[in-house]
Amino acid sequence: MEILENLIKSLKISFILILKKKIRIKVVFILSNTKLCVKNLNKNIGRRKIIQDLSFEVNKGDICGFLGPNGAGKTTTIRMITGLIKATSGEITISGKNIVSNRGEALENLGAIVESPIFFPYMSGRKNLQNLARLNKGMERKKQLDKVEEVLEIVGLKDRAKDKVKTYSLGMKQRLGIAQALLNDPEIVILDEPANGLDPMGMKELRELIIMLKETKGITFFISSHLLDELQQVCNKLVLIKEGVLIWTGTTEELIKESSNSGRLEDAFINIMTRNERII
Amino acid sequence: MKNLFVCEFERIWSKKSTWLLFLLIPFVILASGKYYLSHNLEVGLTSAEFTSVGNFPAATIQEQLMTFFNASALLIIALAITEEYRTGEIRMVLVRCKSFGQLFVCKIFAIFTTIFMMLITYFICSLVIGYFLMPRVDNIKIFYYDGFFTISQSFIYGLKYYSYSFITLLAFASVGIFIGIISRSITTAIGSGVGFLLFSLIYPQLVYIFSSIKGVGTMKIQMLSITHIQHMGIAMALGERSLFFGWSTLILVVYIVVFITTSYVIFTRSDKNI
Repeated sequence: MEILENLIKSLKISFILILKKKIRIKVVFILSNTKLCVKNLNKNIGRRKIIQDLSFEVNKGDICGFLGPNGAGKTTTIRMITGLIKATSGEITISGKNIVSNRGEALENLGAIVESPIFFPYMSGRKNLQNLARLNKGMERKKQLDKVEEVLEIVGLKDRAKDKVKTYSLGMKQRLGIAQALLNDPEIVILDEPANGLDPMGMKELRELIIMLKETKGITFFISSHLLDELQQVCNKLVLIKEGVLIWTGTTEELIKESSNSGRLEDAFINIMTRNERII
Repeated sequence: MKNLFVCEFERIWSKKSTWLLFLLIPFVILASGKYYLSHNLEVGLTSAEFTSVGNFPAATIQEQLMTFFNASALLIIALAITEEYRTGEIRMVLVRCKSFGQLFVCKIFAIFTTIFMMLITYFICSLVIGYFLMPRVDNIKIFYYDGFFTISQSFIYGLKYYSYSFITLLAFASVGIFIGIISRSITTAIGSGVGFLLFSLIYPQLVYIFSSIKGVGTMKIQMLSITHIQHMGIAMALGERSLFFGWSTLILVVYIVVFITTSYVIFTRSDKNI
């Protein structure tokens, strides 16, 4: 009897300790401003080191540009962040949730377009979104359908929503891509080359959409792109990589101030990439 | 998990090709019925080859399992797996689901459910078409049975035949899923699938030609082919003496376990194509 009482007592203590620890962890995450944290990330494919010891953070409300020359490892990094491929080592957390050990919860806070926005071409834009909305955890079907209409309205595709995706222009596909990324009310949206192939009007619309979403919904953005003038207009923060290694991270203003005489991000980017050294 | 299954199932049914396969079913049965009507003229009423209302559902699926159903399964798999995997469409689902394993399980369940629905539709259509097209006979002769069946007995036999047919289709679909996952394009997936289907059809003949003693051993080796089980094995297994029932079931289970497990491992561990 005594043994049993002691066992119950020790179990109670353990439970309280675990609860305290969990609450502490939760409080830390709630207070934390970090929406995306990449720590000592490495990715090897065969003997090739694609990403080497990459670390950076993206905070709440940031529109962070992710820059690097072709083959720098941007898409690989994005694929690891979105949980599509596994890192060789290192840690990625989205709103405090580890993408490997807590994939489900981490992805609940994330919306993404990885590479080009590819949809199911045999379905209409609306049907594509309705199909993907089924994966919104804990949401009734009626709410899922309402959400689809809401995001279609946000990206301005309601008039063409009933048409098959194969009839859409690239700009419309990009907008539909953003719509699908918004389906689960994400805290952070990752866009991989969102302006690729867009005409100047399309780029302007996309830029305005990103800024509007940041201001009205407080969404954090992490955008990979080669279009530096576009990034300069929307991004307050930048992460630069080259050959899988972090070259520079900080605010857009700091980078331009440090590395460009013309005040253009493009010049700063070229300068920093040709310097061939790590400036962090 | 349920939502993911519905999501996968909905996509399979959003394709015109799936609907087309279902719409083809009555025509396939009609064509098959016309063949059996002409074949009936060559055989006697007491022959197991004589097709009537009672044995029409089992007779009509016997040939179509190897061709129409296997080909349909290959097409559904190529479009649901290979196309989504290779075009990158699958990424949109992957960035939303808890694990790759869950997606794989839901995907194959959606495919298997579609195949099951095809089979049910085929059975119902064959009952209806058989009722109007085929002659009515009270004493029905069934392969590998000495006695005669009544209409209700042959109906139950038909149900058993379709159930076992479903297992053979699962085995074939398992190979198809493996091919679908490792193929780099739909053309490769369908081409390799058809290649496997043709080899499965030729293999029993080759075994027969090259075996010196034509006995039980040779028949067992022939049964390694899924199409051979579909063509002869089901009737033998469901016959009075349940010939090779254990052996053919074992072969089918091995196909399903080996190919589904291998496909699962490739799907969940390999990330070079995503």
